[in-house]
Amino acid sequence: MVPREKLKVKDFMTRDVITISPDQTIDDAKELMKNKGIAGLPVINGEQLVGIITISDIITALEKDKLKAKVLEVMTKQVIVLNSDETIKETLSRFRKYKIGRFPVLDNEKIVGIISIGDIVHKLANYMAIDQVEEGSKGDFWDTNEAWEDYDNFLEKGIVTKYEIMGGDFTKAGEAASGTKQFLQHIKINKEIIRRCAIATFEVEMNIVIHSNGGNILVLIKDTEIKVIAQDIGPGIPDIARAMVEGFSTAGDEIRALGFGAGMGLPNIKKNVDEFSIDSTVEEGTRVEFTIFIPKGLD
Amino acid sequence: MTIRELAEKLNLKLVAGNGEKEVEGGIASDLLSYVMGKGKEDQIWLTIQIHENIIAVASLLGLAGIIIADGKIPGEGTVKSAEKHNVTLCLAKEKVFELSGKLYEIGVK
Repeated sequence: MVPREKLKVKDFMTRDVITISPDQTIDDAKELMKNKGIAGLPVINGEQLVGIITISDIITALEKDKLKAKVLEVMTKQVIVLNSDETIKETLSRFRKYKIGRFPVLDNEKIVGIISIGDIVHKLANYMAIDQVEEGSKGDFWDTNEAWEDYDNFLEKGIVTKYEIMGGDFTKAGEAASGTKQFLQHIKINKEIIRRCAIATFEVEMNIVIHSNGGNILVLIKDTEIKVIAQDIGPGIPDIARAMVEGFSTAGDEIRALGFGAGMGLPNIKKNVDEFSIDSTVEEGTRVEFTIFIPKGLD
Repeated sequence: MTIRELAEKLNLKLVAGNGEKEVEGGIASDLLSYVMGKGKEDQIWLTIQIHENIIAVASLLGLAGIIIADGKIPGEGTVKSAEKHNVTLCLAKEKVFELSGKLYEIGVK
């Protein structure tokens, strides 16, 4: 793991920079931002960075009915830029100081990337070891390289497995659920309990992938219960009661086209578990915790 | 009947898995959480979704398998995942509605 002080802008920036030229219209800028799902465009004249236009500029233009005007007329000419070798530590303080959404990254006066606070947050989940084990949960971290036969000793205290989940990564989605199911099968837990746990863990995992910037899932397995704690790093849920309503979803169109966003995730979890809690703070993150009891004598 | 038998009867193409599971009813939906919520073990799942996550759903629920309808072709990732998780994947030319009808006719209810 790279020490945090050594993380550089070039490790986090997006290299595929979408730009616009100064004599295109503000309407062109609006369409580009909409189609690419971004909020700022560096303005390029040939190879030279001459300005930047952001979503605030678009909103102002909409209010004044100036969509047909040229980007040149409204762009910010004094652009704050970064060098790709700057550390993330410096970059974060710049974000705090200037309160802007993104910085173009220049090397030798040429634009080589662009970095937004979202880029940093999205990738930081992988770099940071987010230790979410709560006090009082007596678990030993179970190394996946250890022989599974050792688990007998741990089941009384509990085995904890942590899964890092990347926001937006649909290729690995389902790994926490499937890893948990496999382990429960290995220790011969009742089929119905495995099913309920698999469903609930899958839903909580997909919520992190679909709706958040990333997070992790802790699975604590004891001989008497399975406890799952799913924590993400944002953006948080403004109205939890609404999120719990069957059929309600904030998933975007692209996500819905894949068959997600049915609005049944949280209700599905609640239906399958014995204890459930959800807590969320906007801009900080969401924590879902659930427990499934393993009745004695059931296998 | 097993999926293999079902596939033979309806002329479906088996692209992953061994098709040995016995089919007990079916579910037709393209919403993953709907299937997660209502799907039952050993059901056959009819869908036009082709992305990898359908395999996770089928595997976690213990579904008999998936029939991708309407001539849709799953990507390599989906097929590989199906092999890895031992999920039987079949392809059908028919649309879901027609496919449901045919399954019903041959006794999958």
